[in-house]
Amino acid sequence: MDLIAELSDLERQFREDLSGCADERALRELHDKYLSRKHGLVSEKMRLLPQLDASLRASAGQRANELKKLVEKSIDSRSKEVQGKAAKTGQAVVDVTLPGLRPRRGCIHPISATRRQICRIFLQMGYAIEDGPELDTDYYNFEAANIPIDHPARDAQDSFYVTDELLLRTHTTPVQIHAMQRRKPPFRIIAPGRVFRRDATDATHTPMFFQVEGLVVGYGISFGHLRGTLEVFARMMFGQDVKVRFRPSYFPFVEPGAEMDISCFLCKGVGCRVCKQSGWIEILGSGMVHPALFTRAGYDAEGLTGFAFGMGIDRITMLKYGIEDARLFFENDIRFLSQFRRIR
Amino acid sequence: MKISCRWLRELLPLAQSPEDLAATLTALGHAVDAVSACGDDHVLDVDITSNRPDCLSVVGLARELAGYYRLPLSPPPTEVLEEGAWIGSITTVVVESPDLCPRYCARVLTSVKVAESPEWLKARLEAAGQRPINNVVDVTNLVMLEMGHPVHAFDLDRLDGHMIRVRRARAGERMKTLDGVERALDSETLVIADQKSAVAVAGVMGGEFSEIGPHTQRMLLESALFEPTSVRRTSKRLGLRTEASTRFEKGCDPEAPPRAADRVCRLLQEMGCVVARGYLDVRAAMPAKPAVELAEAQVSGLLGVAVPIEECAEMLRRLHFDVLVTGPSALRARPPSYRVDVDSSVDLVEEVARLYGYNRIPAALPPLESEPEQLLPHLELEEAVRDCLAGAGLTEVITYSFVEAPAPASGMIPLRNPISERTHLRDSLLYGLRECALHDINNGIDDFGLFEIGHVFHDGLRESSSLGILISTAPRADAGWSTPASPVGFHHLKGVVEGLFDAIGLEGVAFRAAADGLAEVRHGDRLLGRCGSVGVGAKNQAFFTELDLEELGKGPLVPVDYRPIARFPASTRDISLLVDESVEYASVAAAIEKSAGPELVAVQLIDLFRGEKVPAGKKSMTVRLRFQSSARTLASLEVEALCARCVEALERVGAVRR
Repeated sequence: MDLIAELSDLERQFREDLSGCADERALRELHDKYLSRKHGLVSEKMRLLPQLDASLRASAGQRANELKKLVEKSIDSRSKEVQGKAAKTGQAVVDVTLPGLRPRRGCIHPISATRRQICRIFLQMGYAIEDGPELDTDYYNFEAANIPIDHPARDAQDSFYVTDELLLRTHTTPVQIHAMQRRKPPFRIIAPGRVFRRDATDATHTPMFFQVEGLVVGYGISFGHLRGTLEVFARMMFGQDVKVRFRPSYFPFVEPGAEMDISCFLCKGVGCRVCKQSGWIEILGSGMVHPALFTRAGYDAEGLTGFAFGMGIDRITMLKYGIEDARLFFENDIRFLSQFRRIR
Repeated sequence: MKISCRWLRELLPLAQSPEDLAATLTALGHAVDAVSACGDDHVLDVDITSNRPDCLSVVGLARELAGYYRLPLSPPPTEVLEEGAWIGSITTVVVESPDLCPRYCARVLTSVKVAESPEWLKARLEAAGQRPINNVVDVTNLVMLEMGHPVHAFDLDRLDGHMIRVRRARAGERMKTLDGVERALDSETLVIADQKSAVAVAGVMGGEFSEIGPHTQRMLLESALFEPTSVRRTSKRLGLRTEASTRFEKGCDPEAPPRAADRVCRLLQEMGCVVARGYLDVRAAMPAKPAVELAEAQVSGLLGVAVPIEECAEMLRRLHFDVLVTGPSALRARPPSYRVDVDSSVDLVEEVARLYGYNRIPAALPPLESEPEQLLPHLELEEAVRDCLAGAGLTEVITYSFVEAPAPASGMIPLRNPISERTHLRDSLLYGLRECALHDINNGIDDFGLFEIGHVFHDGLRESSSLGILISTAPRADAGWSTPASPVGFHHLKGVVEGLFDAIGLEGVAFRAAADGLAEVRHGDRLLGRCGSVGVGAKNQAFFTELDLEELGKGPLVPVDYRPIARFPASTRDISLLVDESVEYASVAAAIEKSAGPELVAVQLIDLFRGEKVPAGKKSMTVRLRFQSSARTLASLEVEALCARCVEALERVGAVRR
């Protein structure tokens, strides 16, 4: 049979097939049946062309191309017809303006999120994270930190006891004391965690809150290093234009002791409610580790120095986001918590 | 403490503005919280740290400013004109407990006329936040504010035997203090007594009986030194904190008593009192504060900046240290008597740093000497759990570690000194989670999904890290418009927990029904936690699970276990089974897994129903089995044979193909 006759038969067959196609899917299948590169009926015929005599090849080739165009055009126009019909008969059309169906969104607590931020900054500076029990002994919480019984500094850290010896830690310093006993200098660690103080509850005090303390011990560690480290922390935590200042303060386990203030990021140092008109916000306590702590840890204190610092995670979170009441953190109102879901 | 700028200027020629003074004091470590105008004066509200009781006075802060600005300090005049009888012929002082009272100075004043204070005196006290009482009491208070040393005035004629006896209280002894409260004393309490009874709690508060009043004609002025710990304990025991006790418990200047007494006498003399000749000074041997050595290398080592030793010496001298430069780079310094806080070389370094200026010390990052370490596995696990559960749509909460004790004898650890109705350490996270859920319900939110990670406390004072999850049974309120929201069941919670185990790589966890209705979550023979339904408030139900994170962390946690994707196609077969109600899915799955062989790669329950076409007491389960070989394409016949083996095994556990 000659190729031109075969192509005519194929055209008849196609017209028949086309009349039976009622929807898009059938049309797509029809397209494949005739034009698919590998198995398409028209394509198959076209592959036979090179075997023909030169005299026949031209006219058969022309016929084949015509058929190919016919198939394409017919399917295309029928496809438009089908679509129009579907729209008229109300078949599914995507309303892209309907609200999306979202998976449920959860969130981590703002204190957890801020703790992560703080830890991340110190991890970047090569610190290890330490952890410890919330119930600890009077020795680890106070004595080992240079706060013997009857020391006036105990007033600021009134504690919850469960036995004569055991109390809920009032700071994460005991974690650092344990770590000092376990480790050998040089090292740099931070200790985040829950702490407890017997304070009357008000907008800035809750009997439980969160701290991160840090400790760097080595040979040649100086107050200049303390400043450099905490300035980097302040800028990473509160923004590159934040300024810091240090002023002498007192914590029994450090000497010299220092408090770090940051320039108020709300009023840019002009004075506002948050910074109590001073332009500065108190952010953390710090200082050079008191040599008595090294002696107690069993280190040869000669030439060994270190710095320590501590900050309240709750306080930093409040300052950063303008939260007015610390009690909100533990009331856990979902309308409060969910607002912090974007902290990274 | 409130400090008047005008008062400071009387002692020092200060040209600086109140704001400048505030900034300087802050930079010296005495943080000024507020500067406020008070008439034509300014008052600084200064926060004095507990190691610097010497700064709890105008003179104390003036000394600091004098050192900083290099100004001469003119101390308040203390010269008195003594008249009349010798004090020893009027009164005697016996110190029976020199360990608690190392020094006791006394002066006697006669021709006392108790009256209202002059205006200048009242104004000064009011600026400091104190209420004027009468000239005698006001002068003693003024001197305490001015010089930092607490003094006390007794009505001499009310003292039995006209004498002072400093002793420990007798068992059962009682005394009415100035505030009108009858106090029970004990043998730990140091009292000032006359011949017969206690007339003051030493260093804390005077007694009502010997109080200065309109009747007073002769007074005995006490200016003493009391042992800090004793004062602190007494003050705590009596629940009585006074201006005097806060100073004594931190440590007062051992050289101050005669000076403070003279200052009071001087002021009262100006108001017409007569100062008797001489004073009594009973003192125990007090070792002088030792001198402290300082090397230049210590300063540069600790501060990170080189300060020549001569410069250090100059700074310390400005602060009234007695300094001897002992070598080219070393000095020895004896602190002034009032610097009770200085006893080692690091204390001297702080003094140098304060005057040098903390903010002038160059900032640098320390060299990284220690190797980076792996994160602690349990902390890493906690963070993974947080991310997984927040990703599953749950909200993290943080609740108090102390809770209201439920039924009696719960075995929870009580706090010795709670401050609220939260009296016990929690032994489960359920209490806090339930409170949060109730809070949500009260706010009209009933589709809560909450979790907490925190320590719980057990018998034997053991604590462990725990994970609690509480999911409401109510359908999700924000599910949207597509499908009707369905209520949450036990298996939703189980799905969350299974997803968690998958996320952390814990395989082979089994849920087992337990007698009390809560399921046990087990890994082999280890109990990881429990899981089940709990009530929230009167009306709501929720599903709760609590898992021991330490047990979870023991794993074994399977890390990434890469295998090439199978190249040969898988075949799936669905098998519908009729099973007795009592048969658990776990035994069905186990039967299949045991019998099918290595080609079985997955078993999935795809349908479960009861009712129509299923006989009573039975349920229908459809499981989908997925077979695949890593070596070849499985033939249909092989798959059928494997299925047949499964069906046979299933029959042995009472599951019949439908």
